[in-house]
Amino acid sequence: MTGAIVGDAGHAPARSIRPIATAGMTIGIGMGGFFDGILFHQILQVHNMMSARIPTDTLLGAKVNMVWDGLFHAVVWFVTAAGIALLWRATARPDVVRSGRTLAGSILIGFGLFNLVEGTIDHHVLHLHHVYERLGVSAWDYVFLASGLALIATGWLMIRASRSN
Amino acid sequence: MRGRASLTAAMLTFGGSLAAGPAHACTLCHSRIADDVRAAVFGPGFWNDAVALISPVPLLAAMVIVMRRYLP
Repeated sequence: MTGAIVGDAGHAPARSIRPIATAGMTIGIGMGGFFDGILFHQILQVHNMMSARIPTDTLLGAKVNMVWDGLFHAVVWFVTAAGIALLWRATARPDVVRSGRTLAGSILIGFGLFNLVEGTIDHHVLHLHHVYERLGVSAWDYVFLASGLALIATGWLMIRASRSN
Repeated sequence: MRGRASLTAAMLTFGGSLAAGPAHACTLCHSRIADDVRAAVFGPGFWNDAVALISPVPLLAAMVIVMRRYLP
């Protein structure tokens, strides 16, 4: 059985990591969004949410992008809140394995999923923005996707290691 | 009575903070640039942009369900 530890027949209930992992992945997606928004949109300012459609080299363009950055942060705030609610519910269940390494691994998977999915849709399909906007689609966009795959693989290995302990 | 005076003072403070100069652009301000920002954000393309903004969410939810199914 995948994702669950089966106890002795008729004695211990089956124990599962799935609720914790689902919560972790959801929190990871939210934190991945915050990482992107805080580091790339605000601190480094290499792109903004709509910077491929609305140039940021005027006050108006910068301000409009700032509003869209805020709406983006509102979305990832709700995703993070949902993840915390899922984690709260998971920890209240007696059949759930409370593993810190599983939680950390699933957060990394969520972070990686964010980079992979947001990078594909926003950078390559819809062209809302690109990692380094001055270059348009560039190697940095593929590095962003690759970082997503690396985070997913790292999280996956962490969960597998926690299961074998 | 005191409560009403406090509420009025608070509203005057808030309203005063929105009376910005022409280059100020707080989203709810009454200034030229703020009007332009609102027109650009909430113009005819608003719903297209909003849908684009949240378009990764359903795919991310689907990916979480798939990953949950195939966890090691």
